[in-house]
Amino acid sequence: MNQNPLADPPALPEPLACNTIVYRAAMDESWFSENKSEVDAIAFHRRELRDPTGLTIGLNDRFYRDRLTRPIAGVISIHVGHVRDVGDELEVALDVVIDRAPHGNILGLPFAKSPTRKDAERIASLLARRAARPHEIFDPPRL
Amino acid sequence: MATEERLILDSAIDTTGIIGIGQALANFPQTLPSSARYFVRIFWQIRPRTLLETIIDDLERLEQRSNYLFKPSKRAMRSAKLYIFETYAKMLGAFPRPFFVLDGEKGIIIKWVANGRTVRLNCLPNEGDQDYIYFENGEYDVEDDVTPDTLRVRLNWLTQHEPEPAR
Repeated sequence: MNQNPLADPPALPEPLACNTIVYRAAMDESWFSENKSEVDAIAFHRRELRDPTGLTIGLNDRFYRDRLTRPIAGVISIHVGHVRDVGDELEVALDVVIDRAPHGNILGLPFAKSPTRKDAERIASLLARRAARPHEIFDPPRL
Repeated sequence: MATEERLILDSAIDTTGIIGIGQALANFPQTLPSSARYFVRIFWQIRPRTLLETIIDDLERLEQRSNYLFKPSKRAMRSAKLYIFETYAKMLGAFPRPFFVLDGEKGIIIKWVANGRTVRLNCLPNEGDQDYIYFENGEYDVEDDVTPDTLRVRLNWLTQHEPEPAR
């Protein structure tokens, strides 16, 4: 057996098809518009402490109920192809990658703080408007 | 300006910072006969809420219902109220009603959307944090120097279809 780890690298994950839908938790009801038809950009803000790798997503909408320890306000659905489209438009390498199924990340987002704050706000705004939809609303919040 | 609106603003903005709207009643002239004070109190309770009060009610309701992790910091609440009171005092009826978003890091975003344009004022949680405005239509930018005057200009841009680009 070849002992060189580089000689037998782990297989790269298959890229998700563009028509794949992934899911993200809405942590607060203010992350939805008043009529619950739109998602706020805050759902796509990447924070240094909370999101060191990327923004957590799940491959199915049950994902959050198994892993979270406190109630959430709902679930947001995200269209993978539209995430890539936003990246193409802003010339940022945005993608959705599954690392430990069903867990994955939206990769390529800058942190929502200076000096990348302006771009982070714009990307978050476009993702919220073009790639995301409210999938489930929990009233009151629940796991 | 309606008398009660002036009363709210005068009581809310003073040299010591933000105080509650309810303080307006406590400060009401004690020289009035008790029966007159009684009628003023009754009137105050049954009259329609002003836009400013409705906005502050929305903000305080959001704070009260938020859980520990999302509860806005005192600094964020104080900043949000200060921007609203002072900018409202400059714009009065032209001040558009905002939405509020909790950022999950004890900050508050005051958000206005109109005419395909968006203005988001980020009231950050910690002393020393620099609040900022993000705004966009086709273009987008961030404004770091947030004052009631810069917010008023940006809200006029939001609501009055000013033709110049974002920056």
